[in-house]
Amino acid sequence: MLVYRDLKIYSRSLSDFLNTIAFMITIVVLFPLAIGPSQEKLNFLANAVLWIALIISVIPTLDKIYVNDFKNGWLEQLNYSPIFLEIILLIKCLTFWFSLMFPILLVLPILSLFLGINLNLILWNLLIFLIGSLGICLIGSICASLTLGTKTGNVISPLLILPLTIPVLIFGISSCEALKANMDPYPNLYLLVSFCLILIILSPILSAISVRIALGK
Amino acid sequence: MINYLANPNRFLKFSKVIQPLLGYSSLILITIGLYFSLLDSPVDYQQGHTVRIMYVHVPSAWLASILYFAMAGCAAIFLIWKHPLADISARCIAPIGLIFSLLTLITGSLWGKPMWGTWWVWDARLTSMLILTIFYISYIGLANAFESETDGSKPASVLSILGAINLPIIKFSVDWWNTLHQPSSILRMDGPSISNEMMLPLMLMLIGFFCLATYIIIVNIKIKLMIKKHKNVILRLS
Repeated sequence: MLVYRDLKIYSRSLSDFLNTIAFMITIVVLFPLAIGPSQEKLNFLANAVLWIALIISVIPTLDKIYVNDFKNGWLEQLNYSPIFLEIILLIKCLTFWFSLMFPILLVLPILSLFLGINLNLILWNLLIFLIGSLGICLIGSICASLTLGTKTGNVISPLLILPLTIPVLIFGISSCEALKANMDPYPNLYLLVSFCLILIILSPILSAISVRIALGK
Repeated sequence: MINYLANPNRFLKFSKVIQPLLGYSSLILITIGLYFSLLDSPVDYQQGHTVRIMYVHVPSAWLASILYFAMAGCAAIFLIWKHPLADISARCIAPIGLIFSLLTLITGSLWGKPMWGTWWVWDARLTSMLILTIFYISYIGLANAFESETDGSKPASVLSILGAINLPIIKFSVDWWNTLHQPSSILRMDGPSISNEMMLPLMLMLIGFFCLATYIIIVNIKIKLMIKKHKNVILRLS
């Protein structure tokens, strides 16, 4: 039921997702214009550009995981429900990730064509991107709950997210690069997956702590 | 010890004794340390006189990490026992730690230009130090981002404890990865590997910096306590 409600809200705020897509496209299109159309350079930078586009376009939407529900009192009611707040927050976070999948699945194949990534690798790349975006969502959940109720809003949230996303970025990119060089992507992919699994445990606990702090004021 | 100091009044009494002690000792130690490190220490056979930057660089790097550890510890004490003095001291430690970490980065890059040929390298030690700086900045930002100051304490404490994961990464980054930054030469299993003549000024500077940092932090805590008392008096009068 929770999933259904959140999905309904997300589907109604279609403009946010168009916004994410627009952001990704803008960043990816700006890069070739900035560094010149040389195919070699582009191919060298392709994965990095895609990952940066993903992270930057997701950051502005991350606050939406909790802020609106916090303002209209829904989170406070959920806090009184018999289910653990941790589980509820995890469900909310996973739902958010699920709704984020569509723009990624839609746009990434086209963008990787723009950047000249080998077509055979696109499915693999998509898989890695989905896992990576799960990690980013879980980190974003911690940061979004920490900044609940701030007066300056989300000025600091990018700074909070930045150091925590570094592992996701490093492992994600190195597995993509291994794929590109025809090598075994599994070592880095396993590290990425294990990082996400650790986050699945840690992130709901930390977010629940900080949501309770925000509610307790 | 900590229990004894947890009371603000006893803390003030204690600080009256310890504060001038720390201030004078840091002054003396840093003066002697600077004399030894700048004038009367051997020149490195590879680095020449640039080795003298190390006497500022290494102590400030250590202090940046130690202060982060202290800050996260205070944050943990605040979250567990809800003691306001722990929060105040964490808030006071943060800017000092930020200054030391910036000092580390700046002196390091000043040293790196003649030695490595670049101002900055993206190697593990440097990057993790930069992340430490970012954690300090985001702690200060988050702690002051709320309407009333006390609202920001708990989220900021959670953040600072989360950032403590970075500390072992900084310490062991030179052992885990193959970095341009030289491996540690003081805290090693087989004893320090630097000569005694260099060790002496380094230790003097380290202890002097430590006293200086504690001195500034205690002064800051006293100021914060006074502001708080002042506000309470105004509240009671109005």
